[in-house]
Amino acid sequence: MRAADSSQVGEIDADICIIVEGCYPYINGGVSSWIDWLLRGNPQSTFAVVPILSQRESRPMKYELPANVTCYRELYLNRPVTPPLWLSRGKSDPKGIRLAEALTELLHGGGLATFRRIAEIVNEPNHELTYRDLLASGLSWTAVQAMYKSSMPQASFLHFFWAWRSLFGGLFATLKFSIPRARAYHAISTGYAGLLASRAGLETGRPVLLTEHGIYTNERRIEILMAEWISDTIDKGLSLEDDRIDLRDMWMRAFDAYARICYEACDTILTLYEDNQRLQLALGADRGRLQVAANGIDLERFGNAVSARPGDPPTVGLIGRVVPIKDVKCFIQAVYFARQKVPDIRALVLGATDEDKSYFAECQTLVRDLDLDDVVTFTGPVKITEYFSKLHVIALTSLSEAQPLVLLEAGAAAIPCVATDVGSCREIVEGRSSEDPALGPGGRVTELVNPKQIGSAIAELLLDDKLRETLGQALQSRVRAYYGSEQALENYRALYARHTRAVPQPNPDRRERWRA
Amino acid sequence: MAGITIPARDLDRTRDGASPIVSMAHAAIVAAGPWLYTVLAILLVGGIAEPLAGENAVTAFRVQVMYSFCLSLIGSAPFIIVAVRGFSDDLFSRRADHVPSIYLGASAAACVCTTVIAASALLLLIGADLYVVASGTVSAGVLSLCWVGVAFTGVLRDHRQLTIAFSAGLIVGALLAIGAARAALGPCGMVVGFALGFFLIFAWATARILATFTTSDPARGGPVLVLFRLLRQHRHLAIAGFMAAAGIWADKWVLWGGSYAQVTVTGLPYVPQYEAAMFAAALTLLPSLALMVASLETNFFEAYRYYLGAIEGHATLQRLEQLASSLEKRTIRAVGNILSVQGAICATVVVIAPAIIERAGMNFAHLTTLRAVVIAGLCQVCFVACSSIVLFFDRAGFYAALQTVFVVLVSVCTWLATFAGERFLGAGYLTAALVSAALALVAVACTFRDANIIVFIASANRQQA
Repeated sequence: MRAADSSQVGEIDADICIIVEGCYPYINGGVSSWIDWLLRGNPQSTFAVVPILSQRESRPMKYELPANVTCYRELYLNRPVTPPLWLSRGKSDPKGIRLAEALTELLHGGGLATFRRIAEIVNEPNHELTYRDLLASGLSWTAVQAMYKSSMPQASFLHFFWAWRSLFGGLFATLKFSIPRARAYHAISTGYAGLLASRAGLETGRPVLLTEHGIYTNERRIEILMAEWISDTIDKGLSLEDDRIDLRDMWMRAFDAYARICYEACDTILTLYEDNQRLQLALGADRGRLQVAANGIDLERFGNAVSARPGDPPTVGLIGRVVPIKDVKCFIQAVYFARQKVPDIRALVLGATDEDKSYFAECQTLVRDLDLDDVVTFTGPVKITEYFSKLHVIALTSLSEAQPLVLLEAGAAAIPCVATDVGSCREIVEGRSSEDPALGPGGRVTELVNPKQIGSAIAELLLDDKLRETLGQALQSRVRAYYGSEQALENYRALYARHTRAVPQPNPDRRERWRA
Repeated sequence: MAGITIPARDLDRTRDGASPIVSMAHAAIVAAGPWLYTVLAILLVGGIAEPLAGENAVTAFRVQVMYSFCLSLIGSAPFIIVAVRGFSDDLFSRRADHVPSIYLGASAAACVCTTVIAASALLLLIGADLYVVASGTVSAGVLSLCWVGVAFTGVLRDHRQLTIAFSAGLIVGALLAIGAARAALGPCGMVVGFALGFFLIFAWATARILATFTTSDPARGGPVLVLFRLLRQHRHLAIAGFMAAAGIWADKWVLWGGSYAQVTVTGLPYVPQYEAAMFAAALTLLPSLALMVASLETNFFEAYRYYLGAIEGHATLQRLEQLASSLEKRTIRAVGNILSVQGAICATVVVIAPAIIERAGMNFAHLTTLRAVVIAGLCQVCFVACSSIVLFFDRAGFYAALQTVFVVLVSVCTWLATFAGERFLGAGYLTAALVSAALALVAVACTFRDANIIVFIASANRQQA
């Protein structure tokens, strides 16, 4: 591994390298909007942006890169690779065995030190392994076989092979990527973004920051547990002591390991709300490095928006992409229940419908089946400030959220919210326990996947103008007090300033920590 | 081809004692039917036309047909092998909208390439007159179209239609050739007439294919673009196809340019005794070809499918290693059986070679040549069997390398053999076949050893690409 030294403190591509997975600049809303806000809100700093994508494909960017983005490089987790003409398993390659051992250690609790060892094997000076060596060679075959035989010799080899390629192919892609030179590296999630930032920190000695909106590992865990394409080959019955690893375990352990690596590598670990820190601590983050940095919104822009009047048709809106994590189907079912009490109810789904076309088709089918064709409208992506004047209530039925900006934006416009108890929704709607003075609830918090309860709450707010107004005012006061954009930006300005001060020599404390 | 032979093998398993013979005959016809009919047709034309046009003209006709076959096979082989691959892939994916474009693209490319090669070879290499060049180019171009049609009909396993088409085409071709002889149009006219019969075969096959695959997706591009994409994707296969075809004829081209060649009345060189010996040797390969179709292709294909099925059925690695080993043993046993049969045939022919020479009216000076090329046939069977297995594992690059080595070896060794005297003309081919067979054996051994890595890694990367 190349050690950072003062001779490398020379030309840089940018002050901060933002590393983001699977959203900015190709997906609208949510974290993408937050990144756009962060870039534009820090014009005094230059940024390199590294979006991590599944594969190269031509599609339009949904965000224009601001002028202070001086470097832009995409990292593809899946790249086509042509195997050599003479593809032979040959004799067992010792490097392949070492790689397999290190990857196995990773799945059994390994952290930054293990990742460093893997990076040293892959990028050994004068003996660097290429991406082809890692995925399409006798060496890679040695590694796959060795891991399979030591970890799960009873599993489907076909499934193991593809799982190995998916998980570690992405890891190898991060190890072979040309990292922009920056004063600090800021990952917007753990996972592969965290891996790349960790590698950057190891190689350059520069500070590494992490901001987690949702907990990436948790979201992957949900997906993996629900994945039907992962076969279970071990019947553990009710035993809790069966420590055999199956494919599903392998997937989850890999992402746990990536999170551990990132937490160990980071100087500062930020999250949007306190409750999230509990999960970060459980995944191995050091309490001393944790900070809360709440999101903020442009109070002026949203504060001037006017909400719907009492006499207007009672309308509830869900602002968000039509994807499973937003549980739009639950919203549709909730509208069905609300309609029983509010016959003239209108429901708008304000968000992109093209991200998961099959899910959108299922939502449309549900609308038809529940006879809600005249009630529910999918608007596609819109300027939400233009719709606030039509909305009496905002609903959020997500299965997982961090700090949903939509609640803050609606709150700024004094629109009360009905939200599921995920992420910081309760904190936003009902206030923190330390809120002083207590501003009162700004809406209703419900259980997840309980359309009857959600529908009931929506109906309650639509039918009672006074209650709605009171809740809306409370939410607005809370948003103005604690969730302003300027305040949030100032936090990041200070953070960046602290971490990008010129470092003439690498921090020996940091190097010692990484040697552990 | 393998699928059609499964019925043959099933036939073999009935209790009727004659069934094995019937199944072998069926396999022999499937493997070599069109070629047998063609040889019979040429013999028929020769027999009837000789009193009309004279012995020299008939000889010139036969030689020019051989040139047309040679040039058309070389010119069309790369496009046929790539097009058939694309065709098979589409059938496997249950996509039929690509097939007409592939077929028409391959036909056009084969015809254009063949006419260029034929015109260049006849004009520049041979220095033939324009009448010969024109008739040779036309006939080679027509034949190249026919080979495309035959290949696609073979993939469709429409052997009955193919047999009918060949019968009809050859009858028409023979009649036209004889008619040309009667009309004193000379060997060139006879060749063109004969080739027109093959055009009928092409037309028959085209009608069959386009009637089966009626739609074409314009979004996927026209025939030229479709074929170009396939060539780019399977460039190793294209090279392999070219080299495989060239390998069949390389020794003849070396000898045609040498001092042992005679010249027909139309100016085309040929080496009659060597070609007669090669023809006799080719006939001895018929049983092995039939065995390869009835046994190796079928048994190997079944075992290979079982192995692939185990992968898709989520077998463990240990189980896959066992199956790969079993596949290897089964294949080696099948190849061994074929080589045993071919070896026995070769030994018999080597012993009775003097009688064959006497009956065929050949020169006894070519006894050594006949024996050498018959023994070379044994090596050739080994080479074909082993290189086919390599291709089954989709190692197109390996396959192309083997074919290229064979072409180079047979050219160089044949050239060197000419210095040893006319008796030793077959030694070059024998040496090349021996070395190539050894290399193919090594290649197939490495392929079985690396079966799992080839199937998993190479396939995975191909999919992702």
